[in-house]
Amino acid sequence: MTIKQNAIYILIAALWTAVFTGCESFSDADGVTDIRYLSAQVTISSDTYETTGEGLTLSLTDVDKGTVIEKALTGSTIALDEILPGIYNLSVYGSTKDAEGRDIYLNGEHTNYPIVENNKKIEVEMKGSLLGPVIFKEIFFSGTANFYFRNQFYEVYNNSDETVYLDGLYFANLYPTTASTFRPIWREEDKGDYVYADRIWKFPGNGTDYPLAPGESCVISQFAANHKLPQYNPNSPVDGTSSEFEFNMNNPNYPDQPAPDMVHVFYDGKAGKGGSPQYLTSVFGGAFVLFKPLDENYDPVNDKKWQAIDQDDYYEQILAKIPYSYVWDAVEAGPNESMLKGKRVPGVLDAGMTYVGDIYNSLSVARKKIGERADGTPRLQDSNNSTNDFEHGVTPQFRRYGAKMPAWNHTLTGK
Amino acid sequence: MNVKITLRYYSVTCALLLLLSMGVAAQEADNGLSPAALEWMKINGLWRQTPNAAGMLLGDTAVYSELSAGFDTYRGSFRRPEQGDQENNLTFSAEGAEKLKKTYVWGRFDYSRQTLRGALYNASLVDPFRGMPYYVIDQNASDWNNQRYDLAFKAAYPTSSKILFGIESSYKAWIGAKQRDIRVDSRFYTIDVKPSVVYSVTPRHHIGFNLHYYNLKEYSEMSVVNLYILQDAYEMYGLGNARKNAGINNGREGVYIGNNVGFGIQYAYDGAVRFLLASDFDKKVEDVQIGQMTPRDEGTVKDVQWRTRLQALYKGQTWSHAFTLEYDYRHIDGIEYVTMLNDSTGWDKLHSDVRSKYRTQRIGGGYTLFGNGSDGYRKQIGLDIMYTKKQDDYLLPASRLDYENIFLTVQAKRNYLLSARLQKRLLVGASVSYNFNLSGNYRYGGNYPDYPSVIGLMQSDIDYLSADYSLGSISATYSQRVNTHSGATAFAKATFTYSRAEEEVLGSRTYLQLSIGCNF
Repeated sequence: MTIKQNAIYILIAALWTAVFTGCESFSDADGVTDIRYLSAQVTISSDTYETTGEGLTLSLTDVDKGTVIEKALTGSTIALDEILPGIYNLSVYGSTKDAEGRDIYLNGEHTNYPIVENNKKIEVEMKGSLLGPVIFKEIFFSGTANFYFRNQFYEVYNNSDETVYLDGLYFANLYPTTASTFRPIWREEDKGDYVYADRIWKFPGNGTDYPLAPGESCVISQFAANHKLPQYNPNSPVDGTSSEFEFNMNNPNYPDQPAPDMVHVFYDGKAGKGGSPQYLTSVFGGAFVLFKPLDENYDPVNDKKWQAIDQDDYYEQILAKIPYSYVWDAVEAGPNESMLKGKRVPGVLDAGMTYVGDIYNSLSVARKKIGERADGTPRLQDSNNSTNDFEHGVTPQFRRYGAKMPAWNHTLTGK
Repeated sequence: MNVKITLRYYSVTCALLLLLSMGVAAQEADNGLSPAALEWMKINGLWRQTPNAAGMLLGDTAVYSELSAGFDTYRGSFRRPEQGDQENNLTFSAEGAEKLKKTYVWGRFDYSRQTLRGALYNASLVDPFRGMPYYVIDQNASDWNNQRYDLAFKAAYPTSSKILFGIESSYKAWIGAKQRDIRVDSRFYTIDVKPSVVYSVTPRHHIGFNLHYYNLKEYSEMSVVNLYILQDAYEMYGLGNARKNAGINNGREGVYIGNNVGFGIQYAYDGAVRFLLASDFDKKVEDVQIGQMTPRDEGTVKDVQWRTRLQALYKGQTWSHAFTLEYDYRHIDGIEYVTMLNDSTGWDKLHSDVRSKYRTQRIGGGYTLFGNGSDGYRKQIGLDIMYTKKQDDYLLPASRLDYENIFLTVQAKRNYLLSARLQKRLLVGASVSYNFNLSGNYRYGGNYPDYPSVIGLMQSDIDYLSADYSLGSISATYSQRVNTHSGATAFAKATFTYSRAEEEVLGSRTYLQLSIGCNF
């Protein structure tokens, strides 16, 4: 066979491939019709909690385009129309009380849920979670230009009418540490009503050492120093010296501050803190939970039943499982409003996502104030939806809205 | 050096050798052409202006070559936002035609190196104006360094006195690089083939037919150098609708693959008045995917174009008349996909629908009066008018951009013979144009109306596209034979254009072009 013949055969093969490929894409494109609205019917049900649907709200958010449809339920079934084909986060939520009279947050959801056909029947199983008395009030995760992240802090607040003891309350940041559309692939035994912790800390105390009265705040800083000092970052909006606690990682360059240390509980299957020189959570926005185990034997370090592994994780980091029912409050933060599709926290714990829109921009997220107690301390919004509950992109501030400092704060006791 | 670059250099080298060899052959024939004569030859060759290469044999099968190199520059704010506030181009062109026994061949090679300064928004495509709604923008005004290689050839062969066969093919390879985060390295190419046939019913009546196929690919790789600054990118899907993407710091690959099929029909009459009616239909489908390892279908465009053009030419003793009438219609359907990531199979395509439509209609006409001369023409004066109607819709949630313009141009040229010795000539021209805007609106009904894709890009674009503006241009081309016994003609050309919007805030723009060259 001559070179010329070869060239001709190659040319014919290439043309045939191009034309064949082209024909397929032409027929695919010709079969596509104009967009039209879809209808759907949503029905809620619950094995655990009795609900007629009255007082619940349905929220349907297009995770790509951001379109939000909200409707109040008047029964257990609701009809929706004018839905555009897309991937949605569907959430039905509201509050109720359980058999023991406790405030319960009800939520049923489908995340990253496709609605692409007309008259779709959607069943939603409602689940409940405790409306915790202590909630996140403000989170500053973005840091300050240029690349200063040591001023991160987390403020928790007693939004209830009872004094709560922080002793033994757990704090964790969740996995994946930044919002991602790539979902973890859990082992069969790890699947269930859990969130998965990257690292867990615990408030110190013997049970009654750290009371938090209604209207009092507690600030936990990554590093409880005055960040405005020249050796740190004068542009920082945060002076962390009045923090109630800090996450001390024993870094000699950033020495232990007067604020008491949080107790480290878990990282990568161990009680040790690991090699990281600081407790840095994602400046893009992490997901955080406050929780109290209902099982007194909860021990993710020594009991493997509380451990999980993402099979897609090259490093096979060991994570800690936290049942939904343990969680008092959860907040999910992400880079911006378009990352809803990367949610890590189930809607029953947080149906939304908050953000500050950039990194190192010295802005935080702060829960909205919806009222005041007689003593002037705020009542904060807690609908288990961070999109709605938080102001995003505010200048960080400790004890905003007149929240009080607990009497045991080290700056008051001098200890 | 990778395979693509190697192929490109081979292509360029081959084209240059081909064209230079043509030049040598033509030089021996001693039939050099002045710039005005070359222009006149192309105006006369009505078939040359159609996609039917076979028809070249029905016109002047002149053997010639032209080489030119130039520099042109744009300055000023009256522009579409993705164009540079400043733009500099270094260009090199080679064009030639030759007879190889009974086959007439023509070839052209163009190279340009373009530098854009302060180009806004575009952060993914080499050519953001090519009718592709799915691309990425950012808010960092940036420089772009672009290079373009365009090669084309036509060949025509008479199989009998009545049947002519021809083929036209072209290859474009464009490279663009954005110089500021979000960085882009984008590579665009097309390969275009147009086989054609002409049947001469009688010596005066000719009908032609051609097919058209081209394949297009653009690979746009985005990256961020400074990872400490979060860069917001906006993935556009039409008329300002955009998805904000902060994850661009991890990079993003846009892969555009398109195929176009089409055909053209022509009818020509050669009498005292020669005229040619040509109509072309093209349909392109271009798919856009994000990523190559786990590709996600981003969208598809179905692009239909229909062009009809009537040209007429009458050559009298003293005066000649050229007349054109044309109608273009373009309709693009923007198809979007609903996709979902499946851990084991990648991105699944669940649904597709047409969400946006882009329609452009242009009707135009022109008349040019030539004063005949020994060297192409002595003078010419012409009038051109073009009506453009654009209507773009995003269907749900509804958004619309529309405008109507009438663009009017009056132009004149004079071809002076300065000296018979060495045929020293000066070709001077001037034109004035005015764009009358009849209407122009942009109404956005989607989410996030404060995004830069809406209040920045689209608003700036409609401000430009619906502006009343005037444009004036002057040009001068000096040419002379290289020496008395050579057919080669050298030339130097300068053009200056100034455009200014009626609305002062839109500003003005200047264009200066300088080039030198040689015809053999």
